[in-house]
Amino acid sequence: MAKKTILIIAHGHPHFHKGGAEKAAFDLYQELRAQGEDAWFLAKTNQKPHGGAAFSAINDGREILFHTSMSDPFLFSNIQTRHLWNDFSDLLRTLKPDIIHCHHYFGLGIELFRIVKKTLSDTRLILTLHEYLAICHNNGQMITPGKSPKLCYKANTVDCHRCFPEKSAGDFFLRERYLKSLLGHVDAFISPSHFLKQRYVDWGLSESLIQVVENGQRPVKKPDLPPISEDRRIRIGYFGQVNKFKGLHILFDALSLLSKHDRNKLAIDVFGANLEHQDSDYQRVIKAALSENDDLVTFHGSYRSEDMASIIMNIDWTIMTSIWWENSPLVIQESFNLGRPVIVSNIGGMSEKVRHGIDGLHFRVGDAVDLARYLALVVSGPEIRNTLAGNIVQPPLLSDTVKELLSSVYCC
Amino acid sequence: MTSDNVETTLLVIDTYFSAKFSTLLFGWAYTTKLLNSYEVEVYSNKSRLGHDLVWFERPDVSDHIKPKEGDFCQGFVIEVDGQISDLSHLDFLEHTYHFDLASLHRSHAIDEFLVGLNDLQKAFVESKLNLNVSLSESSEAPVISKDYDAVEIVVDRAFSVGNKFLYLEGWVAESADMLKSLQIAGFTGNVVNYLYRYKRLDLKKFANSRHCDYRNMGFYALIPCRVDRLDNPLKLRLKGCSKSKQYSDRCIDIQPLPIDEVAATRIILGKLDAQHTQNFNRAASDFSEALQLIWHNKLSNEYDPEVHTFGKAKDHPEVSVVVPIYGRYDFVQHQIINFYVDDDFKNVELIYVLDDPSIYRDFLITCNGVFNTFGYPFKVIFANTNLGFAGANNLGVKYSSSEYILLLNSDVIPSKPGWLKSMLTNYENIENIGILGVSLHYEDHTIQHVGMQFFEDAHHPGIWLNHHPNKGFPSSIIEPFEIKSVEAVTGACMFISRAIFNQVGGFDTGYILGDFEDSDLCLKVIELGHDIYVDGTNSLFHLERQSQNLIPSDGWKHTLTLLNGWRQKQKWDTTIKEMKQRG
Repeated sequence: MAKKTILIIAHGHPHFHKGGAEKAAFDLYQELRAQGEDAWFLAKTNQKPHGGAAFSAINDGREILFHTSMSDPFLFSNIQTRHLWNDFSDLLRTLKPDIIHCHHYFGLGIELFRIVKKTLSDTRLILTLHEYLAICHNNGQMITPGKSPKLCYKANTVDCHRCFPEKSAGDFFLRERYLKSLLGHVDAFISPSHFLKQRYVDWGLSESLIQVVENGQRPVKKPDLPPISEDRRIRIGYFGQVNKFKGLHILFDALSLLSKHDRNKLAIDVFGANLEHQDSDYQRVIKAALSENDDLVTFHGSYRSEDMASIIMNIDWTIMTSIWWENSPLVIQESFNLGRPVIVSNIGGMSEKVRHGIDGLHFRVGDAVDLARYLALVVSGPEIRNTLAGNIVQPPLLSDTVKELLSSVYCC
Repeated sequence: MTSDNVETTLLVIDTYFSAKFSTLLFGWAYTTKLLNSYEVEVYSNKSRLGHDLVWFERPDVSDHIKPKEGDFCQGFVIEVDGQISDLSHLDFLEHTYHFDLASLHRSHAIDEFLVGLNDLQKAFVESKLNLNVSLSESSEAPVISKDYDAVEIVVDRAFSVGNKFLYLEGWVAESADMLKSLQIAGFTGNVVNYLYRYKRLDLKKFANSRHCDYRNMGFYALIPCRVDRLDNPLKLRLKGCSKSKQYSDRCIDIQPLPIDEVAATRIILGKLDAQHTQNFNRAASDFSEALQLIWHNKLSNEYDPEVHTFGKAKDHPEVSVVVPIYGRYDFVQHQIINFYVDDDFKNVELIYVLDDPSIYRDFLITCNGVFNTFGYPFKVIFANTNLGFAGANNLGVKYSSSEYILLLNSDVIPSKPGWLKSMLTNYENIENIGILGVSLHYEDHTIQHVGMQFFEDAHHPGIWLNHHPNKGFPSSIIEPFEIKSVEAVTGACMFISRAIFNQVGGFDTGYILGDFEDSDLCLKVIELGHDIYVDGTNSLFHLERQSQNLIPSDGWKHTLTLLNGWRQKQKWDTTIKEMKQRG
C-alpha cells in the first residue's frame, strides 16, 4: 500500500522563530521523516517572498514557507487575501495530503480548516491545541489583561468585554461562534495536557474528539545529580522566557523572605530569554531584583534546548513560577528527561505534569511566602532532591509519540 | 488655458487638541473654487464622523497666500466626534487629506489658537472643550450699551431651507422681555412668534454684564416664508424699543444649506430640544416639513445601483433574503458561515444592499473572500449614497425575485439551522397573515423581541413609542408560545409576501435616517386588512444596534427620532387607537 502523505502545518518555522509550538511541530515533521513517512512541513513566515509569491521553500524543498498574514486578528481571519482560498487550495490539490496536522491557525487564518475540507474532503484534519487561543482574546492566556492579572476560569461574553472594553459582548459572541464553526471541520484534536483538554471541553468542544498526547522528547543520557555537601550550595535553575506571566519576580520576592543562613546555602541560575522585549517597568523590577540578590542569583541569558543537558549537570532542581495556567510546559518535560525534580506553581498544566511530593513540589501560585517555605525546605533537607528525582517517570519519547499519532490519530 | 483657470485647493491642519469626547482640529483652507459654502467631511476608516465647523479669518495665512478676489481663504476649527486615532482622512471639496498621526502636531494648551477668533467662535471652542477660556479684553466683544432698555440681537447663522423656511440662530440681549416685535423685510409676520429660546452657557459672563438672563438668551427660529423675497444680507428690524437700536448689529448672509442631507439635518436640528419645547406640535410640524424638504430629492430619486454577483444565481428561489449593510460589514462573514451549512438556504436568493460608499472597496474584498471561502452565492446591490433602512430594503426587494421575502438585519445571526423553511411554512399556514416576525434574543439569551406594542410614555408626550414587551427577560421565564398575534414586529427580521410588500408600496422612506419604518409597514399592512404575527417556534440572535452605533448619538439624532415618532403619530394615531380598542 502506498505511503500516506502527511502535511504538518505550523505558524512559524523554528529556523526563524524558536517557540515551543514551532519546535514541537518541526520535531514531529523530522521524526515522521526519520520513520520513513512521506511528510511535508508548511510554516507561516514574515520573510519577504519572490515577487508576490505566496510560497517559498527552504532546506530540501519539503519545508515550505507560507507568506501570508491575517486580516482580522480578532477572528484569526484571513479571507481578504487570496492566500487561503486560492494559493493554499492549489497547493493542497498538488500535494494531495491524506493527513494534515496543524499546530496552530494563528497567523495563517482559521478559514484554512474550511479550505482543507472544501478542497480535499477526504483528508483527515488534525489540530494540536496550543494555549487557550480560541477561548481567550488575551493571547490565549486565560488571565485578565492589565497591571495585576487575575486567573480566568471560564470565558463568557460579558467578562471578555470587561477585559477588552473596545469589543462588545456581541463581538465576543460572534467570535466564539465563528471560531467554533470553523473548528467544526477538524476531525481530531490533540492536547498535550488533560488540563488544556478540559478547558476546551468546558468551552464546548466534544470530549471524544480530543486526545491527550504529550509532546515527545528526544532520548538523552541523564547527567548524574550533583553531590550534596556542606560547602556546596543547592542550585535551582530557571529556564524560559522572562515576562510577568512567567512570574520570575515571585521567585525574587521569595528569596527576600529567606533567612541569611538559607540564602547562603542557595544559588539560582536564571537562563532567561527576551527580558529586553518586556516593558520598561518590568525590566526595572527584574534588574533591581537581580542586583539585590547578586550574592546568590546569576543571570545567564537565553539557552538553547540542545545545551540543556550540559547546563543541568550542576543543577539540583528546576523551577517554574508562572502566574498563568500554561498547557504542557516544555521545561518540565526537558527537566524530567534529564532527571531533575521541578518546583512549580500549583495550577493548570504545571500541577498536572508535576506530582507534589513525588517528582516535584507545588507552591501556591503567585505566593512568595509559600514558595519561600519550600525553598527553605529544599535547603534544610537537601536529600529530598534524591527521593523526588528517583520517582521521575521518563517522559514519552518523540519516537513513541509519533508512533502513537500514526496508529491512533492519523489512521482513523 | 491660463493658470487662472486651474483650480487650486489647499488644506493644512496646524494642530489638534484632544478634548474629552472629541478632537478639535485647527488649520486653514484655501481654494480658488467659488462655492456658496465650504464644508469639510471627516472620516474614520468605516464611516463619516459627525462634526461641527467654524470658519474664521486668518490674517497670517492671507498675508502669505494673498488670495485674489473671490478666493476662499479661512482658518477653521473643527470639532469631530472621535479621538484622533479614530480619524483616517478628511475631504475638502474633492480632495482627500489623510491623517498621519506621526506628523500631526498635538497641542496641550489651547490659548495660542484662539488668537483671531471672535467671542462667539471662542465660545464655540470653549463649549466644546468644557473649559473656561477667558475672553480677552482686546477681542471684538459686543459693545456694551449703557442704554439698558435697548434690545440687542445678533444673528449667527441664517439658512434657506428649500426657499420655504428661513432658519436662524443667534442670541438676544434684553432685560425684562423687551423684545416684542421683530421684522424682516419681505416677511409680514412677527419673527418673535417663531423664536425658540435656549440657554447660552457660553455667553454667561456677557449676559451678567448686560443684566439679562443667559438661560433665555439663545434663540433659533424656523420661519415659513419665501426666502428669495427677503433682503440678503439679512437684517432684523426691532420695533418698540429705543430708536438708536432699531436694527440688529450685524448683517448676515442667508446661506443655502449644505447639499449633504445629514450635514443639513444637523444644522436644522442642532439646537432644537423637542422634548422641552412647550409647543411640541408646532415645532414638530415645522421642523418635520423642513426635513422633508431637505431630504426630498434623495428620497424620491430612482437609483440605478451597481449589481455584483458572487456565484451562480438560483433559477427559482423559494425565498429572497434582503440584508442592508451600513457602517459595519463583518456581519456578512458571520451570517454566511451560518447560512452555507443550512439546507434551508439551498434555494434562497441572498441579497446584500450596501448604501455606504465609504466601505465600498473593503466590503467587496470581504464579499469576494467570503464567497471563495464558503462557496455560498449571493448578490450585492450597491447604491452610491446612504438610502436609510427603508430605502435600502426597498431597493433590495426591487432587485429580488422570489414570491416570499425575508427582510433581515445584518446583526441578526441564526441560532441553529432549519428556521427559514419553518417560518415559510408558518407564513403559508396562518390565515390572513401579513407579516411574520420571529423571537429574537441578545447574545446572553435574554429577550430582544417577541413583538412590539405602541406605547405612550410621559417622557415623550405626543408620540407612540415602539415598545418591546419583555425586553431583557431571561427567555426561560416567559410563557412559551408558538405563534401569536401582535401589534407590530421589528424590521430586524420580517417575513412577508412580495405581493403584500408591493401592495403597500414597501417601506415609507419619509422617516429620516431610520426609526418607525418597521412599525409603519406593519400599520400599512394592518390597514390593508392583514394581521401581524410573531413566530415563537424559531429564535435568532439579534446583536441590536451594533450596526447603528456608528451613527452619532448626540442631541440632533435623538431629536430626529422624536420627530419621526411624531410623524408616525400623525399618520397612524386613529388606526393605533382603533387597534387598541379592539384589543
